[in-house]
Amino acid sequence: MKSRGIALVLLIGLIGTFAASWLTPPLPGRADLVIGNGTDPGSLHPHRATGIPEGRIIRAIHEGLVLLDPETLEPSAGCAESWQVSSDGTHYRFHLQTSLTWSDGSTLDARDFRRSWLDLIDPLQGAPYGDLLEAVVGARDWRNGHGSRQDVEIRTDGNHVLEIEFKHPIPWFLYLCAQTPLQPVHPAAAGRAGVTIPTNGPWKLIQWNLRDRIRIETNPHYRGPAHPELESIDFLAVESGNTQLNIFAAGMSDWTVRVPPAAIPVLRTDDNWAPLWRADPYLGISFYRLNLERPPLNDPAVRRALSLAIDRQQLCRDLLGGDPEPAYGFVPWPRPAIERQRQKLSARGIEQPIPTALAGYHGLALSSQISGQTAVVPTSNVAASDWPTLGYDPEQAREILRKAGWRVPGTDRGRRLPPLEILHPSGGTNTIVAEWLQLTWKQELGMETHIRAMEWRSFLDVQRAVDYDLSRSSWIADYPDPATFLTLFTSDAPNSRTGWSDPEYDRLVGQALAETDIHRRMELWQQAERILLERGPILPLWSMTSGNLVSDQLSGFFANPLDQHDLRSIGRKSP
Amino acid sequence: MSTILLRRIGAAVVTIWAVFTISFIIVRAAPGGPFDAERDPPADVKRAIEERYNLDAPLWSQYLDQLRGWILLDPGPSLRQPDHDVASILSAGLPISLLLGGLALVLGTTIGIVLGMLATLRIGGWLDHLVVVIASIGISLPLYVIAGMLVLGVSFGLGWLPPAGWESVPSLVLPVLCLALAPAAQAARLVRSGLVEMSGEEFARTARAKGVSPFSVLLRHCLRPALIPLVTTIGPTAAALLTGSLVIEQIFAIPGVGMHFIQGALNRDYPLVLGAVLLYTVVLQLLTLLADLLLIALDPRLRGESR
Repeated sequence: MKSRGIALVLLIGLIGTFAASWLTPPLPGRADLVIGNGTDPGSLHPHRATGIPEGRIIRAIHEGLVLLDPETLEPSAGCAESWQVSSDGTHYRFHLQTSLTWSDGSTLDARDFRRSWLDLIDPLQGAPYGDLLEAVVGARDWRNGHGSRQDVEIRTDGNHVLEIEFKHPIPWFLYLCAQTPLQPVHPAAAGRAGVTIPTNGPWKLIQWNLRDRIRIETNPHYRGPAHPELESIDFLAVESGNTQLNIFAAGMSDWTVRVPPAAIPVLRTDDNWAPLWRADPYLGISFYRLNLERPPLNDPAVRRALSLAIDRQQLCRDLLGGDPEPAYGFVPWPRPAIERQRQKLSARGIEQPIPTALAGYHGLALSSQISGQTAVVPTSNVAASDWPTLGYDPEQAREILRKAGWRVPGTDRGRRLPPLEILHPSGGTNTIVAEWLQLTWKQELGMETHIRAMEWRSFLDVQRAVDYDLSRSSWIADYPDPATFLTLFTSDAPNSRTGWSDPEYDRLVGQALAETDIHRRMELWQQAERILLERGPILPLWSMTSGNLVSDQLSGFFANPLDQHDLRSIGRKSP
Repeated sequence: MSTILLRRIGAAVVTIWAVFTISFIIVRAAPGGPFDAERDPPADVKRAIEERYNLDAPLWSQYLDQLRGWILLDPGPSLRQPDHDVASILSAGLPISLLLGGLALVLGTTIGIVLGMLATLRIGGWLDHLVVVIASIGISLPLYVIAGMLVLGVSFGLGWLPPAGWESVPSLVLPVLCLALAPAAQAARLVRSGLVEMSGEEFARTARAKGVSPFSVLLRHCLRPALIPLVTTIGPTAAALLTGSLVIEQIFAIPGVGMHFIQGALNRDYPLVLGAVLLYTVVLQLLTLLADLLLIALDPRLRGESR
């Protein structure tokens, strides 16, 4: 009787198991391209999506007014076959292709773009990237409650012409037209995305298995200019970098976007892996925010000494795997850093063009050399060979502290530096970088620091409240222009999180945004960056790199500073 | 019997409500919010988003809304994955976790019972020692170590099975083996100790004195009572297995429900966290109830006590 009971339990378990297998969604076969896409996407609605994994999928199933060249990021025809820009850069007139359709075969025209963009701006819709279009005439007033939808200068002229008027020039607007938030949204979407919502890209959503994969397949109604080679693509939702690497190593994916940091040195040097590892300059800066309200960080001498004591070259080489380059300014990847990257790739036997990250802009750097009254030097004058140690001089750091009346190692005069707290989010390389900085500042400057690691959202909460001394940070470009970095620390910027305010900096940023002459504009950005480096609340550490493992069977995967790889250009090499 | 059943169901409902309430308080006390990011949206946009999800309402009102939603089995959309309802997110992962957990439970329990019996055939013999060692390893080694070793050896060393993914039947083998190890070890230890105890009882000695073979005594006379301790633990074990394993799902990229416990909390996806906790609580209550009823059916003495 009793063993029959156990047998019954096991039988129930077996029946339950088979019932569950019957309920489980069917497992799809392999797609033409399988991408280890990182974390499970949040929303695939262009107005709701905020992450990179979502963007990769959305740009495949949608198509904006323009497409970007996969190598140069130059705009080319998308849904718009041509466009005109006024001489002052504030008025755009797009001529849409006349045969555009949604994936359900219904017509798509300029009115759909107008409605989608107005929805993006609409304050009640709560689109996180709605501020990208705040410079449109009437948009800001509407968002502030002083205007209406009809006042926003996004107009149609017939069904195939879209016009947009800005308050000041937005040189990166064509680039924005290819990005996730500005993709057209079908009226049936109603704030959601899914396999039943029509889209307009060369592929359409076929299957969405939560936390497993998203399958897209060719959209038979696509009439755009692209001619994608791949019929089906799977985006695997794999959270763990180790698992992503295992899946790639087993040949179950063709491209993976996340690998464990500990594997990077092997990927860079192993003969089998090195040709597949793509770590290209990426428009992102890794830095620490400094709380200038708290002593001793309110003393410029201490801030300068902290920076000079850091051997960023050692940090990048020994702790970060060797791909990133030291950063001494806030706008990443100035010319010497790009040149260094090219040399590193060449030394590994990889010869590939590396496009300039921000065309026309020559950044600045905090140097150990004093030029005139300042230690901030233009990077255009720096040789690539000098770059690794440009801002590293611990002896000078101690001298600066001593002159400012602080006690340094080897002396017993001066005020003792009070201990500081290093705040960082737990996970990734954050901990080892914080520990390395702690050791460096202790050894070089005799300064004590405490490390406080916090879970991500708790960390953001503390950072937003400016309740820190030094706080680990990074910033990734929304668009390829210095503005995406240098508007971060204006007095009214929502993401400054430092409490820092400088009227001169605000004025220069305002002037740069309004300037129509490209050369003058870049000069103004340089002046603003100089103030940020001399007086501002930041400690730059390194320019970021992308990190893609790409099968050698794929073609059309190019390095670009935004790490955006249009799937329309990717194919499989002929056997 | 029906009185016991009603009393247990009533206690389960109260327990589930208490767990829901405590979980609600804990997740809402955590700093930060679901829409926090490195790049925060402007304040007015954030207000609009919070309004959309009723997060601007007083906490007690949100609590009642959530409670009502769960009672009606319509808790609304996930905050991080707003294209999906929480119910659909959980129901997409649950069959997968049930499949893996069910296989692991059946496999683990069966192997455990067999190993426990083999060990008892000759107490103190090499087989007994081997089973004890295997059981100790199965209980003490962390899952990620076992999983890592299996991936390295079986997937990349021998090339027999895929290292991860949810694509084919072979991809189930390694995660099921990993999940089955701990219940197998637990079952082996419990069955072994139960059999050792039972084989010293008078009825076993009598059977052996009558010439019944030791194996037959174990199988026909001792095994049944020796299984009772196993039944008492099978409820919580099954609940843990059937509601997914964070470690196994992460290592093998299994789209079950286990990850929602952690990811939901890290993302401050309040409805999803509550859903995951409720799911676990309900399954645990159900299985514990089932195990208790089974015990009463197995052991007539308990029927008297329960009255």
